[in-house]
Amino acid sequence: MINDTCDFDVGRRLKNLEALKAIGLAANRRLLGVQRISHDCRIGIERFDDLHASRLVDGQRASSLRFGDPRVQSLFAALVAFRLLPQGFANRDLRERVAPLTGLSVDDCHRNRTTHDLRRLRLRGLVRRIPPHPSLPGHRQGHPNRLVLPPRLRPRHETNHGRRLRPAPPASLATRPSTRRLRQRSPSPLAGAKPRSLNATCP
Amino acid sequence: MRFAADHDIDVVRFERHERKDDRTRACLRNFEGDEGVLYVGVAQEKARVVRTERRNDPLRGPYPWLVSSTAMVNHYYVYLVDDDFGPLFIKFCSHFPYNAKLCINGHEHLKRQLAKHGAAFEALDNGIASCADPDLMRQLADGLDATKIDALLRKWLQRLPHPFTSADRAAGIRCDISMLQAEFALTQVFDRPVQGRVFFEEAMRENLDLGRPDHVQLIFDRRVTKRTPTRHRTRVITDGVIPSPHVDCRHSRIRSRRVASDATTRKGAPCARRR
Repeated sequence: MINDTCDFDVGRRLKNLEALKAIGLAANRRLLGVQRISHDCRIGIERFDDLHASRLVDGQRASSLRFGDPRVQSLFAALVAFRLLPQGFANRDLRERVAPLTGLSVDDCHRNRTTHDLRRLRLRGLVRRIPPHPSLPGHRQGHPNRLVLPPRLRPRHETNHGRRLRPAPPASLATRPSTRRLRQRSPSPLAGAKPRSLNATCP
Repeated sequence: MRFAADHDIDVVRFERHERKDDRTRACLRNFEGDEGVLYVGVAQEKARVVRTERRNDPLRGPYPWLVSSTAMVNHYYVYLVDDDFGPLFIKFCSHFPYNAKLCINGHEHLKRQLAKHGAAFEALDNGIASCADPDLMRQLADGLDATKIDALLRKWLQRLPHPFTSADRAAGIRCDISMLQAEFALTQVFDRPVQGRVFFEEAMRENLDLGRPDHVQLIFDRRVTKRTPTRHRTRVITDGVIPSPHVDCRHSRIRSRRVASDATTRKGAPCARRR
Protein backbone atom coordinates (compact mmCIF):
# COMPACT_ATOMS: atom_id res chain seq x y z
CA MET A 1 0.00 0.00 0.00
CA ILE A 2 1.59 3.26 -1.12
CA ASN A 3 0.29 6.22 0.82
CA ASP A 4 2.71 8.78 -0.49
CA THR A 5 4.12 8.48 -3.98
CA CYS A 6 6.97 10.82 -3.05
CA ASP A 7 8.43 7.98 -0.97
CA PHE A 8 9.54 6.53 -4.28
CA ASP A 9 10.47 9.80 -5.99
CA VAL A 10 7.32 9.70 -8.08
CA GLY A 11 4.96 12.65 -8.44
CA ARG A 12 1.36 12.51 -7.30
CA ARG A 13 -0.18 13.39 -10.66
CA LEU A 14 -2.19 10.68 -12.33
CA LYS A 15 0.16 10.62 -15.28
CA ASN A 16 2.68 8.91 -12.98
CA LEU A 17 0.44 5.91 -12.50
CA GLU A 18 2.54 3.71 -14.77
CA ALA A 19 5.70 4.45 -12.78
CA LEU A 20 3.87 3.69 -9.58
CA LYS A 21 2.50 0.45 -11.00
CA ALA A 22 6.00 -0.63 -11.93
CA ILE A 23 7.19 0.01 -8.36
CA GLY A 24 4.25 -1.76 -6.76
CA LEU A 25 4.45 -4.79 -9.02
CA ALA A 26 8.22 -5.02 -8.61
CA ALA A 27 7.78 -5.04 -4.82
CA ASN A 28 5.18 -7.79 -5.13
CA ARG A 29 7.37 -9.84 -7.44
CA ARG A 30 10.32 -9.49 -5.13
CA LEU A 31 8.24 -10.47 -2.14
CA LEU A 32 6.90 -13.45 -4.04
CA GLY A 33 10.42 -14.44 -5.02
CA VAL A 34 11.56 -14.37 -1.41
CA GLN A 35 8.54 -16.36 -0.34
CA ARG A 36 9.12 -18.94 -3.03
CA ILE A 37 12.68 -19.40 -1.84
CA SER A 38 11.54 -19.75 1.74
CA HIS A 39 8.47 -21.89 1.24
CA ASP A 40 9.14 -24.03 -1.76
CA CYS A 41 10.31 -27.18 -0.05
CA ARG A 42 11.11 -29.05 -3.24
CA ILE A 43 14.85 -29.09 -2.77
CA GLY A 44 14.91 -32.40 -4.51
CA ILE A 45 16.08 -35.54 -2.84
CA GLU A 46 18.68 -36.01 -5.55
CA ARG A 47 20.33 -32.72 -4.79
CA PHE A 48 20.16 -33.39 -1.08
CA ASP A 49 21.62 -36.88 -1.43
CA ASP A 50 24.23 -35.56 -3.76
CA LEU A 51 25.77 -33.64 -0.89
CA HIS A 52 25.59 -36.58 1.49
CA ALA A 53 27.30 -39.17 -0.62
CA SER A 54 30.85 -39.09 -1.88
CA ARG A 55 31.14 -38.92 -5.64
CA LEU A 56 33.64 -39.07 -8.44
CA VAL A 57 34.21 -35.90 -10.44
CA ASP A 58 36.57 -36.18 -13.42
CA GLY A 59 38.24 -39.16 -11.80
CA GLN A 60 38.73 -37.37 -8.48
CA ARG A 61 36.92 -38.44 -5.37
CA ALA A 62 34.93 -35.75 -3.60
CA SER A 63 34.06 -36.77 -0.06
CA SER A 64 30.57 -36.22 1.33
CA LEU A 65 29.22 -33.09 3.01
CA ARG A 66 26.96 -34.67 5.58
CA PHE A 67 23.98 -32.82 6.99
CA GLY A 68 24.44 -32.37 10.73
CA ASP A 69 28.19 -32.78 10.68
CA PRO A 70 29.48 -29.85 12.81
CA ARG A 71 32.41 -29.36 10.50
CA VAL A 72 30.15 -29.10 7.43
CA GLN A 73 27.71 -26.81 9.20
CA SER A 74 30.55 -24.53 10.24
CA LEU A 75 31.89 -24.57 6.72
CA PHE A 76 28.55 -23.52 5.21
CA ALA A 77 27.98 -20.87 7.86
CA ALA A 78 31.41 -19.39 7.20
CA LEU A 79 31.10 -19.60 3.44
CA VAL A 80 28.03 -17.34 3.40
CA ALA A 81 30.22 -14.44 4.48
CA PHE A 82 32.15 -14.62 1.21
CA ARG A 83 29.14 -14.56 -1.10
CA LEU A 84 29.55 -11.03 -2.35
CA LEU A 85 33.32 -10.72 -2.50
CA PRO A 86 34.21 -10.10 -6.14
CA GLN A 87 37.85 -11.07 -5.58
CA GLY A 88 37.04 -14.26 -3.73
CA PHE A 89 38.82 -15.50 -0.66
CA ALA A 90 41.90 -17.47 0.26
CA ASN A 91 42.50 -20.55 2.37
CA ARG A 92 43.46 -18.45 5.38
CA ASP A 93 40.32 -16.26 5.11
CA LEU A 94 38.13 -19.31 5.35
CA ARG A 95 40.21 -20.83 8.14
CA GLU A 96 39.84 -17.70 10.26
CA ARG A 97 36.08 -17.95 10.03
CA VAL A 98 35.67 -21.69 10.36
CA ALA A 99 38.00 -22.09 13.34
CA PRO A 100 35.89 -20.22 15.93
CA LEU A 101 32.74 -21.95 14.70
CA THR A 102 34.28 -25.35 15.35
CA GLY A 103 35.70 -24.29 18.71
CA LEU A 104 39.34 -24.28 17.57
CA SER A 105 41.93 -21.57 17.39
CA VAL A 106 43.20 -20.56 13.97
CA ASP A 107 46.53 -22.24 14.65
CA ASP A 108 44.87 -25.52 15.59
CA CYS A 109 42.76 -25.47 12.47
CA HIS A 110 45.38 -26.75 10.07
CA ARG A 111 45.74 -25.46 6.54
CA ASN A 112 45.50 -28.98 5.10
CA ARG A 113 42.12 -29.44 6.67
CA THR A 114 40.79 -26.30 4.98
CA THR A 115 42.41 -27.38 1.73
CA HIS A 116 40.48 -30.63 1.96
CA ASP A 117 37.23 -28.72 2.57
CA LEU A 118 37.88 -26.39 -0.33
CA ARG A 119 38.66 -29.30 -2.58
CA ARG A 120 35.37 -31.06 -1.96
CA LEU A 121 33.47 -27.80 -2.36
CA ARG A 122 35.29 -27.10 -5.61
CA LEU A 123 34.67 -30.53 -7.07
CA ARG A 124 30.96 -30.16 -6.35
CA GLY A 125 30.89 -26.76 -8.04
CA LEU A 126 30.08 -24.82 -4.89
CA VAL A 127 33.24 -22.74 -5.29
CA ARG A 128 35.56 -22.30 -8.21
CA ARG A 129 39.16 -21.27 -8.60
CA ILE A 130 39.72 -17.86 -10.15
CA PRO A 131 42.84 -17.01 -12.15
CA PRO A 132 45.67 -15.56 -10.05
CA HIS A 133 45.83 -11.80 -9.97
CA PRO A 134 49.15 -9.91 -9.61
CA SER A 135 47.82 -7.85 -6.70
CA LEU A 136 46.45 -10.87 -4.82
CA PRO A 137 48.84 -13.32 -3.20
CA GLY A 138 48.22 -17.06 -3.49
CA HIS A 139 45.28 -18.91 -4.96
CA ARG A 140 41.89 -17.46 -4.28
CA GLN A 141 38.56 -19.20 -4.56
CA GLY A 142 35.63 -17.40 -6.14
CA HIS A 143 32.00 -18.46 -6.27
CA PRO A 144 30.33 -19.43 -9.53
CA ASN A 145 27.66 -16.89 -10.33
CA ARG A 146 28.40 -15.19 -7.00
CA LEU A 147 26.48 -17.83 -5.09
CA VAL A 148 27.80 -20.26 -2.57
CA LEU A 149 24.90 -22.67 -2.73
CA PRO A 150 21.77 -22.77 -4.82
CA PRO A 151 19.38 -20.39 -3.08
CA ARG A 152 16.83 -23.11 -2.40
CA LEU A 153 19.33 -25.36 -0.74
CA ARG A 154 21.34 -22.97 1.35
CA PRO A 155 18.68 -21.73 3.75
CA ARG A 156 17.18 -25.20 4.18
CA HIS A 157 20.46 -26.94 4.84
CA GLU A 158 21.59 -24.35 7.30
CA THR A 159 18.34 -23.31 8.94
CA ASN A 160 16.98 -26.84 9.23
CA HIS A 161 19.90 -27.70 11.40
CA GLY A 162 19.68 -24.50 13.41
CA ARG A 163 15.92 -24.50 13.91
CA ARG A 164 14.96 -28.11 14.14
CA LEU A 165 17.91 -29.85 15.73
CA ARG A 166 19.74 -27.34 17.88
CA PRO A 167 16.79 -26.10 19.99
CA ALA A 168 15.84 -29.62 21.16
CA PRO A 169 16.57 -30.34 24.84
CA PRO A 170 19.47 -32.64 25.68
CA ALA A 171 18.78 -36.33 26.17
CA SER A 172 19.10 -36.09 29.93
CA LEU A 173 16.24 -33.60 30.03
CA ALA A 174 14.15 -35.50 27.52
CA THR A 175 14.14 -38.65 29.67
CA ARG A 176 12.98 -36.83 32.77
CA PRO A 177 9.34 -37.30 33.73
CA SER A 178 7.19 -34.40 32.67
CA THR A 179 6.31 -31.73 35.17
CA ARG A 180 2.69 -32.78 34.94
CA ARG A 181 3.55 -36.29 36.13
CA LEU A 182 5.73 -34.89 38.89
CA ARG A 183 2.85 -32.75 40.05
CA GLN A 184 0.53 -35.75 40.17
CA ARG A 185 3.07 -37.91 41.96
CA SER A 186 4.05 -35.59 44.78
CA PRO A 187 1.84 -32.92 46.26
CA SER A 188 3.11 -29.37 46.24
CA PRO A 189 5.21 -28.52 49.30
CA LEU A 190 3.06 -25.44 49.72
CA ALA A 191 -0.19 -27.40 49.56
CA GLY A 192 -0.63 -27.78 53.27
CA ALA A 193 1.22 -24.67 54.37
CA LYS A 194 -0.65 -21.89 56.01
CA PRO A 195 -0.42 -18.53 54.28
CA ARG A 196 1.95 -16.23 56.06
CA SER A 197 1.10 -12.66 56.49
CA LEU A 198 3.29 -9.98 55.01
CA ASN A 199 4.22 -8.77 58.43
CA ALA A 200 5.56 -12.18 59.33
CA THR A 201 8.07 -12.12 56.50
CA CYS A 202 9.32 -8.64 57.35
CA PRO A 203 11.77 -8.15 60.20
CA MET B 1 -29.54 16.39 -1.62
CA ARG B 2 -31.52 18.03 -4.38
CA PHE B 3 -29.80 15.76 -6.90
CA ALA B 4 -30.81 12.71 -4.88
CA ALA B 5 -34.41 13.88 -4.62
CA ASP B 6 -34.61 14.64 -8.35
CA HIS B 7 -33.29 11.21 -9.33
CA ASP B 8 -35.06 9.25 -6.61
CA ILE B 9 -31.81 8.10 -4.98
CA ASP B 10 -31.67 6.92 -1.39
CA VAL B 11 -29.74 9.12 1.02
CA VAL B 12 -28.26 7.32 4.00
CA ARG B 13 -26.60 8.85 7.03
CA PHE B 14 -23.85 6.51 8.12
CA GLU B 15 -23.79 5.55 11.77
CA ARG B 16 -20.63 5.75 13.80
CA HIS B 17 -18.32 2.77 13.02
CA GLU B 18 -20.74 1.48 10.43
CA ARG B 19 -19.10 -0.64 7.74
CA LYS B 20 -19.93 1.10 4.51
CA ASP B 21 -18.91 -1.90 2.44
CA ASP B 22 -21.56 -4.08 4.04
CA ARG B 23 -24.32 -1.64 3.18
CA THR B 24 -23.00 -1.23 -0.35
CA ARG B 25 -22.85 -5.00 -0.83
CA ALA B 26 -26.49 -5.27 0.18
CA CYS B 27 -27.45 -2.51 -2.27
CA LEU B 28 -25.44 -4.16 -5.05
CA ARG B 29 -27.45 -7.33 -4.73
CA ASN B 30 -30.62 -5.44 -5.52
CA PHE B 31 -29.12 -3.30 -8.27
CA GLU B 32 -30.30 -3.90 -11.81
CA GLY B 33 -28.83 -2.40 -14.94
CA ASP B 34 -25.36 -1.77 -16.31
CA GLU B 35 -24.53 1.41 -14.46
CA GLY B 36 -26.01 4.06 -12.22
CA VAL B 37 -26.01 5.51 -8.73
CA LEU B 38 -26.57 3.03 -5.92
CA TYR B 39 -27.13 5.48 -3.09
CA VAL B 40 -25.68 8.55 -1.43
CA GLY B 41 -24.17 8.24 2.02
CA VAL B 42 -23.50 11.11 4.39
CA ALA B 43 -20.85 10.97 7.09
CA GLN B 44 -19.16 13.56 9.23
CA GLU B 45 -15.41 13.19 9.01
CA LYS B 46 -12.30 15.12 9.73
CA ALA B 47 -10.99 16.97 6.70
CA ARG B 48 -8.26 19.38 5.79
CA VAL B 49 -10.02 22.65 4.97
CA VAL B 50 -9.17 26.24 4.22
CA ARG B 51 -10.72 28.84 6.49
CA THR B 52 -10.65 32.59 6.76
CA GLU B 53 -9.56 34.36 9.87
CA ARG B 54 -9.64 37.98 10.87
CA ARG B 55 -6.30 39.69 11.09
CA ASN B 56 -5.51 43.21 12.02
CA ASP B 57 -3.10 45.60 10.40
CA PRO B 58 -2.29 48.66 12.53
CA LEU B 59 -2.24 50.90 9.47
CA ARG B 60 -4.99 49.49 7.24
CA GLY B 61 -7.24 47.92 9.86
CA PRO B 62 -8.73 44.40 9.90
CA TYR B 63 -8.49 42.13 6.86
CA PRO B 64 -9.39 38.49 6.10
CA TRP B 65 -6.68 35.84 5.73
CA LEU B 66 -6.80 32.27 4.45
CA VAL B 67 -5.43 29.59 6.78
CA SER B 68 -5.25 25.84 6.45
CA SER B 69 -6.78 23.82 9.27
CA THR B 70 -8.87 20.74 9.99
CA ALA B 71 -12.58 20.49 10.69
CA MET B 72 -15.33 17.91 11.09
CA VAL B 73 -17.47 18.42 8.02
CA ASN B 74 -20.06 16.48 6.05
CA HIS B 75 -18.80 14.18 3.33
CA TYR B 76 -21.07 12.83 0.64
CA TYR B 77 -20.28 9.32 -0.56
CA VAL B 78 -21.81 8.68 -3.95
CA TYR B 79 -21.75 4.93 -4.55
CA LEU B 80 -21.87 4.06 -8.24
CA VAL B 81 -21.80 1.15 -10.60
CA ASP B 82 -19.89 1.84 -13.78
CA ASP B 83 -20.16 -0.20 -16.92
CA ASP B 84 -16.37 -0.52 -17.26
CA PHE B 85 -15.18 -0.26 -13.66
CA GLY B 86 -17.95 -1.96 -11.71
CA PRO B 87 -18.68 -0.71 -8.17
CA LEU B 88 -16.85 2.43 -7.07
CA PHE B 89 -17.49 5.55 -5.05
CA ILE B 90 -16.68 9.23 -5.14
CA LYS B 91 -16.49 11.08 -1.84
CA PHE B 92 -17.17 14.80 -1.93
CA CYS B 93 -16.16 17.11 0.87
CA SER B 94 -18.76 19.79 1.54
CA HIS B 95 -16.26 22.42 2.67
CA PHE B 96 -13.88 24.58 0.69
CA PRO B 97 -11.72 23.61 -1.26
CA TYR B 98 -14.25 20.82 -2.01
CA ASN B 99 -11.87 17.93 -2.33
CA ALA B 100 -13.19 14.73 -3.82
CA LYS B 101 -11.82 11.22 -3.64
CA LEU B 102 -12.39 8.59 -6.28
CA CYS B 103 -11.94 5.02 -5.12
CA ILE B 104 -11.76 2.29 -7.73
CA ASN B 105 -10.85 -1.37 -7.55
CA GLY B 106 -8.71 -2.77 -10.35
CA HIS B 107 -10.05 -6.27 -9.73
CA GLU B 108 -13.60 -5.09 -10.37
CA HIS B 109 -12.46 -3.40 -13.55
CA LEU B 110 -10.84 -6.63 -14.65
CA LYS B 111 -13.95 -8.66 -13.90
CA ARG B 112 -16.05 -6.31 -15.99
CA GLN B 113 -13.63 -6.42 -18.88
CA LEU B 114 -13.36 -10.22 -18.81
CA ALA B 115 -17.14 -10.50 -18.84
CA LYS B 116 -17.31 -8.12 -21.80
CA HIS B 117 -14.76 -10.20 -23.71
CA GLY B 118 -16.63 -13.39 -22.92
CA ALA B 119 -13.73 -15.02 -21.08
CA ALA B 120 -14.71 -17.54 -18.42
CA PHE B 121 -13.30 -16.78 -14.98
CA GLU B 122 -13.84 -17.60 -11.34
CA ALA B 123 -14.22 -14.46 -9.27
CA LEU B 124 -13.22 -13.96 -5.65
CA ASP B 125 -14.46 -11.20 -3.37
CA ASN B 126 -11.43 -9.14 -4.23
CA GLY B 127 -9.56 -10.97 -6.93
CA ILE B 128 -9.80 -13.65 -9.55
CA ALA B 129 -9.14 -17.30 -8.73
CA SER B 130 -8.76 -18.59 -12.27
CA CYS B 131 -9.37 -17.58 -15.84
CA ALA B 132 -9.75 -19.56 -19.04
CA ASP B 133 -7.59 -17.07 -20.93
CA PRO B 134 -4.73 -15.84 -18.71
CA ASP B 135 -3.03 -13.93 -21.53
CA LEU B 136 -6.16 -11.92 -22.18
CA MET B 137 -6.52 -11.29 -18.47
CA ARG B 138 -2.97 -9.96 -18.25
CA GLN B 139 -3.54 -7.78 -21.27
CA LEU B 140 -6.74 -6.35 -19.81
CA ALA B 141 -5.13 -5.78 -16.42
CA ASP B 142 -2.27 -3.88 -18.04
CA GLY B 143 -4.84 -1.84 -19.97
CA LEU B 144 -5.97 0.01 -16.85
CA ASP B 145 -4.12 3.29 -17.23
CA ALA B 146 -4.30 6.94 -16.29
CA THR B 147 -6.33 7.90 -19.36
CA LYS B 148 -9.15 5.52 -18.46
CA ILE B 149 -9.26 6.65 -14.85
CA ASP B 150 -9.31 10.29 -15.89
CA ALA B 151 -12.10 9.62 -18.39
CA LEU B 152 -14.06 7.79 -15.70
CA LEU B 153 -13.95 10.74 -13.34
CA ARG B 154 -14.86 13.27 -16.04
CA LYS B 155 -17.76 11.11 -17.11
CA TRP B 156 -19.27 10.95 -13.63
CA LEU B 157 -18.56 14.59 -12.81
CA GLN B 158 -20.74 15.46 -15.79
CA ARG B 159 -23.60 13.38 -14.39
CA LEU B 160 -23.22 14.20 -10.70
CA PRO B 161 -23.39 17.65 -9.12
CA HIS B 162 -20.04 19.25 -9.87
CA PRO B 163 -18.20 20.64 -6.84
CA PHE B 164 -17.54 23.86 -8.72
CA THR B 165 -20.35 25.99 -10.05
CA SER B 166 -20.50 26.95 -13.70
CA ALA B 167 -19.38 30.46 -12.70
CA ASP B 168 -16.31 28.98 -11.00
CA ARG B 169 -15.46 26.94 -14.04
CA ALA B 170 -16.01 29.94 -16.32
CA ALA B 171 -13.52 31.79 -14.14
CA GLY B 172 -10.93 29.09 -14.94
CA ILE B 173 -11.10 26.92 -11.85
CA ARG B 174 -10.30 23.34 -12.78
CA CYS B 175 -9.87 20.11 -10.94
CA ASP B 176 -7.16 17.54 -11.51
CA ILE B 177 -6.50 14.05 -10.21
CA SER B 178 -3.65 13.11 -7.92
CA MET B 179 -2.94 9.73 -6.43
CA LEU B 180 -3.61 9.64 -2.73
CA GLN B 181 -3.19 5.93 -2.18
CA ALA B 182 -2.35 2.97 -4.37
CA GLU B 183 -2.60 -0.64 -3.30
CA PHE B 184 -0.97 -3.47 -5.22
CA ALA B 185 -2.36 -6.74 -4.00
CA LEU B 186 -0.68 -10.08 -4.20
CA THR B 187 -3.48 -12.57 -3.83
CA GLN B 188 -2.38 -16.13 -3.22
CA VAL B 189 -4.99 -18.87 -3.23
CA PHE B 190 -4.31 -22.25 -1.67
CA ASP B 191 -6.08 -25.43 -2.60
CA ARG B 192 -6.19 -26.73 0.97
CA PRO B 193 -6.63 -24.78 4.21
CA VAL B 194 -3.62 -26.49 5.76
CA GLN B 195 -1.37 -25.23 2.97
CA GLY B 196 -2.48 -21.68 3.67
CA ARG B 197 -1.75 -22.08 7.34
CA VAL B 198 1.68 -23.59 6.77
CA PHE B 199 2.56 -20.90 4.27
CA PHE B 200 1.44 -18.11 6.53
CA GLU B 201 3.23 -19.42 9.59
CA GLU B 202 6.43 -19.68 7.57
CA ALA B 203 5.87 -16.19 6.21
CA MET B 204 5.57 -14.95 9.77
CA ARG B 205 8.84 -16.58 10.70
CA GLU B 206 10.61 -15.11 7.70
CA ASN B 207 9.10 -11.67 8.18
CA LEU B 208 10.36 -11.50 11.71
CA ASP B 209 13.82 -11.30 10.21
CA LEU B 210 12.83 -8.12 8.40
CA GLY B 211 13.31 -6.15 11.60
CA ARG B 212 16.90 -5.68 10.54
CA PRO B 213 17.20 -2.62 8.30
CA ASP B 214 19.47 -4.32 5.77
CA HIS B 215 16.68 -6.82 5.08
CA VAL B 216 14.23 -3.98 4.45
CA GLN B 217 16.68 -2.62 1.93
CA LEU B 218 16.38 -5.85 0.03
CA ILE B 219 12.69 -5.20 -0.50
CA PHE B 220 12.67 -1.51 -1.19
CA ASP B 221 16.06 -1.19 -2.80
CA ARG B 222 16.64 1.85 -0.66
CA ARG B 223 19.45 2.60 1.70
CA VAL B 224 18.04 3.16 5.16
CA THR B 225 20.29 5.10 7.48
CA LYS B 226 19.80 7.00 10.72
CA ARG B 227 19.22 10.15 8.68
CA THR B 228 16.53 8.66 6.48
CA PRO B 229 13.30 10.49 7.33
CA THR B 230 10.20 8.80 8.75
CA ARG B 231 10.08 5.34 10.18
CA HIS B 232 11.03 1.99 8.73
CA ARG B 233 9.91 -0.90 10.80
CA THR B 234 8.56 -4.39 10.84
CA ARG B 235 5.65 -5.19 13.06
CA VAL B 236 3.81 -8.33 13.89
CA ILE B 237 0.32 -7.48 14.96
CA THR B 238 -1.88 -10.09 16.54
CA ASP B 239 -5.48 -9.43 15.73
CA GLY B 240 -7.38 -11.98 17.79
CA VAL B 241 -5.57 -15.20 16.99
CA ILE B 242 -4.55 -14.35 13.45
CA PRO B 243 -1.11 -12.74 13.25
CA SER B 244 -0.44 -10.19 10.56
CA PRO B 245 3.02 -8.99 9.55
CA HIS B 246 3.38 -5.34 8.59
CA VAL B 247 6.45 -3.80 7.00
CA ASP B 248 6.49 0.00 7.02
CA CYS B 249 8.71 2.08 4.79
CA ARG B 250 8.13 5.79 5.16
CA HIS B 251 4.42 6.27 4.42
CA SER B 252 4.06 3.00 2.53
CA ARG B 253 3.35 -0.41 3.90
CA ILE B 254 3.41 -4.06 3.04
CA ARG B 255 1.00 -6.12 5.05
CA SER B 256 -0.16 -9.68 4.80
CA ARG B 257 -3.43 -10.96 6.05
CA ARG B 258 -5.35 -14.11 5.70
CA VAL B 259 -8.86 -13.94 4.39
CA ALA B 260 -11.29 -16.75 4.99
CA SER B 261 -12.71 -18.38 1.92
CA ASP B 262 -16.07 -19.27 3.42
CA ALA B 263 -18.24 -18.77 6.47
CA THR B 264 -16.72 -21.74 8.32
CA THR B 265 -13.18 -20.48 8.11
CA ARG B 266 -14.22 -16.99 9.11
CA LYS B 267 -15.09 -18.32 12.52
CA GLY B 268 -11.50 -19.23 13.31
CA ALA B 269 -10.75 -22.44 11.44
CA PRO B 270 -7.63 -22.55 9.25
CA CYS B 271 -7.99 -20.19 6.34
CA ALA B 272 -7.33 -21.02 2.75
CA ARG B 273 -6.54 -17.69 1.29
CA ARG B 274 -3.98 -15.05 1.97
CA ARG B 275 -3.88 -11.59 0.55
